[in-house]
Amino acid sequence: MTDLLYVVVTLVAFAALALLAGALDRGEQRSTDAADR
Amino acid sequence: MTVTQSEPEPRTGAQEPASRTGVLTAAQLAEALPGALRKLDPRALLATPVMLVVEVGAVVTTVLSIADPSTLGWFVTVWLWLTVVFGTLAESVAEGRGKAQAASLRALQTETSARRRTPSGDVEDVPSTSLHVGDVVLVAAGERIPGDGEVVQGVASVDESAVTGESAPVIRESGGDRSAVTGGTTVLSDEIVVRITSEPGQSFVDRMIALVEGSERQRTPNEIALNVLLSALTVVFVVVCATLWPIADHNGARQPVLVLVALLVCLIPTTIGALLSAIGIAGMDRLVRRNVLAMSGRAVEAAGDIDVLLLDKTGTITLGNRHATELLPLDGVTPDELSEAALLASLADETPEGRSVVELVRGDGGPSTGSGSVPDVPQGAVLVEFSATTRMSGVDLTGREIRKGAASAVTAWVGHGDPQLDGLVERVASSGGTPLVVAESGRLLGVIHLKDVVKPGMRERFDEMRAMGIRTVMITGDNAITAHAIAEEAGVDDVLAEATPEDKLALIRKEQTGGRLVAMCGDGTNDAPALAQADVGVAMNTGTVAAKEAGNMVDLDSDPTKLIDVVEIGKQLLITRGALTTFSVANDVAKYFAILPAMFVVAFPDLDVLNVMRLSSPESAIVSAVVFNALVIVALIPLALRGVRYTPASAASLLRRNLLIYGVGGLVAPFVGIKLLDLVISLVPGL
Amino acid sequence: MSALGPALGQIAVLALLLVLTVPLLARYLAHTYTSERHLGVERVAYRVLRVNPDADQHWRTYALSVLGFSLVGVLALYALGRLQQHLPLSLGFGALPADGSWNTAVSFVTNTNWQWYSGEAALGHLMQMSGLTVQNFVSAAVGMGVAAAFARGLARTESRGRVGNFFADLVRGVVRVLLPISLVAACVLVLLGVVQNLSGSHLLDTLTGGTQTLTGGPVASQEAIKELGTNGGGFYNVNSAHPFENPTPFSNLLQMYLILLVPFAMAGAFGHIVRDRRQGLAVGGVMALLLSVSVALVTWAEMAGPGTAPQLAGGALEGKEVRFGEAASALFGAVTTGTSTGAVNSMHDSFTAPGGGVVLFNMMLGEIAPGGVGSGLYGMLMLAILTVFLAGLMVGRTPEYLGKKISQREMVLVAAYVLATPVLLLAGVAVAVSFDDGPAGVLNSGPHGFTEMLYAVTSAANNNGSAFGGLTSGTPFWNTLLGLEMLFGRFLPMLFVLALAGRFAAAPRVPAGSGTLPTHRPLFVVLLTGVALVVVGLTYVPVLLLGPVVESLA
Repeated sequence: MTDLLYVVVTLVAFAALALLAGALDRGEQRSTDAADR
Repeated sequence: MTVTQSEPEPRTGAQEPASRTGVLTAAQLAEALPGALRKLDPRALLATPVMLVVEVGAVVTTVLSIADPSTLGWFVTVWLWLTVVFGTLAESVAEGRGKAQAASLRALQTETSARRRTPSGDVEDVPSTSLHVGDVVLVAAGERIPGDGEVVQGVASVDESAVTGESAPVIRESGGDRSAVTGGTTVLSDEIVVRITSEPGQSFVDRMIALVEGSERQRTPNEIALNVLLSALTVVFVVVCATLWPIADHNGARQPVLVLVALLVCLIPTTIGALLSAIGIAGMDRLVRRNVLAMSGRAVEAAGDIDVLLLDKTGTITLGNRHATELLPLDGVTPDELSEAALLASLADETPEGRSVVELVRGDGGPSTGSGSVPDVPQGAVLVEFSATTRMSGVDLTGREIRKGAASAVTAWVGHGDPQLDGLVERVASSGGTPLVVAESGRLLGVIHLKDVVKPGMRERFDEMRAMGIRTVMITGDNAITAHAIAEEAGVDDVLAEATPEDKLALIRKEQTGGRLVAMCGDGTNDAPALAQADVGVAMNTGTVAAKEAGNMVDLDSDPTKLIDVVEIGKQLLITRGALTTFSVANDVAKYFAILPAMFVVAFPDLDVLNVMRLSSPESAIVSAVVFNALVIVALIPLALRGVRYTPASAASLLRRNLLIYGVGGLVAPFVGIKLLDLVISLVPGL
Repeated sequence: MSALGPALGQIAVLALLLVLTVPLLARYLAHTYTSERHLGVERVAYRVLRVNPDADQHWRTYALSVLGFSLVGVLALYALGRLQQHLPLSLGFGALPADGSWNTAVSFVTNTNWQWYSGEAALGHLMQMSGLTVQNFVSAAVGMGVAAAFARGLARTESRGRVGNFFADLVRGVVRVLLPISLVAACVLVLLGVVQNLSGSHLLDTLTGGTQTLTGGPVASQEAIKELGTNGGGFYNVNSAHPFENPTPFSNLLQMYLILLVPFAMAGAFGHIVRDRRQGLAVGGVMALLLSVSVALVTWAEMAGPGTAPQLAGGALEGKEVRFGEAASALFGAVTTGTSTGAVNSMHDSFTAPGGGVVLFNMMLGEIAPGGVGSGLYGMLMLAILTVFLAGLMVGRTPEYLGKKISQREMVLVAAYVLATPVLLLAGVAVAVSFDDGPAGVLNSGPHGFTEMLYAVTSAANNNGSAFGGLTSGTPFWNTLLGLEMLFGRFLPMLFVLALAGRFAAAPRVPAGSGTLPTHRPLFVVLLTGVALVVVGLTYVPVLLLGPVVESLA
């Protein structure tokens, strides 16, 4: 049971980090687009 | 037709009110106060998170002080509110400086009626506000031009003083590079037909009003980046103070929320946060005061980064006109003979070149006084004016005919050439000058050397530019030999000779692909592509609509050397921001020394050692820090408005100087200031 | 003072060794991270991993590769700890508790090497060798790779955000740099007396008639990479204070050399990669300056600092090994906390209050003096960009670093980087003091007890792994809190660094002119040092005041 908890915590943490990477990339695209305009 | 004449405030440098010189007066502050209070609206403060945090803190301490009144509580509360007000006041004062100007410009917008030409060719009276792009109107002497436009027919002298501050009327004519007219200016003579080029509410004057009032000010990229940094620092200190609550509690030194809020406000960069937008507005205002209108803040900032400056030779580097500098007689001709002939030949010549010959011969080089050794115009003289067919000018006296002009024209008039003359002509031309040949009654006398005269002080200005790291390139239609000779004399770094508009554009593109930022100025329609391509394009106000549209700045004085001022203002803007940020951050060290021992000295008496300023009591220490924090904003408003002094120098020496003043100064000043305030505040009972 | 001679002598020897070897390694590192060629053994690794090492990755792909690789590492290490009793070479140790196993897994994957357990009393050789030692190599290689990607991003122009290949960086870092140097270092360590075997524990009768358990093991091999990769996870509980790990002053010196070697060389490599060696020298100079100051302060504190006992004894010897003495212990303390090495050769808990405060502050600065392998370099470069922003404004140009404009987007990423660690750290401390489970494990009362907690959270959030001692951290509360601190303290900043690397790689380069702020001059070195101290340091003044400062003044 605790094992499951820690595995889930790990997965959630890494998923959040991956989402952040995606968000940073999208922010990057947006600011590049804005600069191009 | 009625024209509401209002006497616009002349914008000359001689009688600048205090508001224009950067000195802050009490009256100015009082005037700005209502605006400052309106800006307390939290929605308005969203743009500066630093000040929003201060306002939220002030609300919190107000509530706390009402719930549990104490001298400390009310002191802190009042000064937190003052901190916010001082911030909005700075912005308000900066905006106020443009207000008077905006008011005089608004007077130009009084609705007038316009005579619009209908498609059928009739003329109808319509209100000026109903004119649209493409409408064609007639404007006669004494009438006000109803909107921005282009002269499509006729010539007129126009009084543009309301917009440019220049009282001498200017000539506007169809075709060529002098065809643009500005709405609100007045036609003094003749009648012109104008095609309207702007929609109501979007005219040049509208844009000017928006600019000087700062109402449409867009924050520049660098200002936004700095705001990001300031917000991050604010978040860090919010976290520091929020976490300090449980942490202090755990260590047996529970802190009242009021004190934590005071600490927070002292730590976040309020100084620069409060002054940031005032700096931006004041920067634009400085441009406006030099009669330059920047259409975007981005361009002002880019001006600070300029690497390459393209300057037209004529009118920028050299005086617009050539000056006679030397008389070269042929063999068998005495210098006096040549001088006298040249002088007489020039009497009819009212061009600057002609006058310069007179000045040269009279020997002083100064203005003609009319009391020289030679009479002004001899009795019975017939003046022969320059004409395009003869390409000569001169004078006919009794028995003498004197002419001066281009070598080919004069030799043709004389009927024969001279190998020695050819040599002299060649020599003058190769040195960058223009030769004028003088002859009298069929006899060649010699050559006048007309030279492009570099404006006084240009070499020094270019040396300054080099010190700033800016390369100057002279652009001229002259041939390479002439161009290089002048470039050499003026001290520019590079030259583009026999330049066509395409060459200019290509040069800008080439520099930009290397990553450099290019500035240039121009006025003609054929300059428009290059103005648009340049990172900073300054259009002359006398120029065409196309040029003004293409550039991102307009110089109302039409002075090409203004570019140098623009660069300086751009740099000054950035330096002021950097200096005040450094000052603000450096202040934190002293504030820590004031507040932290005060907060914890009750729980840990040993910390009294850190009370290096020997502040009288913990309460007084906290209040002193808060008061200092607020007062320093007021103290720095004049600096923010005036801008940090900029002297052209290398980056390293600029950095050393500013770091010493604002970095080290920022470390030391609050120690002194807080100590002094403490001496006063400790007299307040209950603190 | 007679002890001063040897103290300065060892610093001089250490400095000399570094000055001689760092430039060589720097050149080699730069080549490693920019060369197009692959070694045979590397090709095998790529085939096993099923990756194409020549694929130039977009920064996001690079970041996701880092995250994916690290996730697998955490899960594998967690399983290894939980299943230890079923696996060979367990030495009879049972499974680690769930929270402890997770903490350890995160700790080693994040290059932190925080150890809540006693290595010799909880872990078998399989866990130590195939789990922890492997992570010591790869987690170090990940950090170096990210730093190399950042340097390449600065060196490139208009590459559409591509910063290199993570797997190539990872494999090369291990195969070309870490493995060969640790192999040599391990052999030298064995020569200097460090243990290397696969035996279990021996029961011995001591001279006083008691019994003692001595555990042997593959110590030297783990020790070499522990220092070289700025990991710090010791084989034994007392880490480099243990005579089997660190038997003599010479092995001590060698360990400090190994710790500092790669971080300083990374700064040099950065200069090579951006094709301006002076830039690397400037960054390395700031690192050296900060390290020198902290070495001087800790050495002063431990040899002549305040406190009744140390004053009487002529030095603070409590908690230190006599074979090293105060100076070598102080130097080791400054070196390990200036880097992200969790190793200790003395108990920082027993340092004088100012000495403990300085090593704590070293970590708080974000470990940039010279920092962890890779992480030290990118941490310093982020601060350099911040400095350029402030200083660049003061010379009247919009700021640029190495020809890359620093505008809004760049500032967002730098600000996020600068924000991440302090927020994690302070929030962690606030959580720790707010729950009964936090202070429950604290040994001392008062400011010193607070410092014990502060040190633990600081160590975790900055991925140092150094333990102050005094705190019983092997509880579910501390294991989970510190695990989260380590995880986010490692990868959050890394994401911002990679995003910025991608942005720089896509940006054009502005040529430098005489109006450009030079970033290789002494003035910039001083300014960068100042920004590190003021902008980052000031954040921690209140908590430092309540801990070491109050204690120092008592």
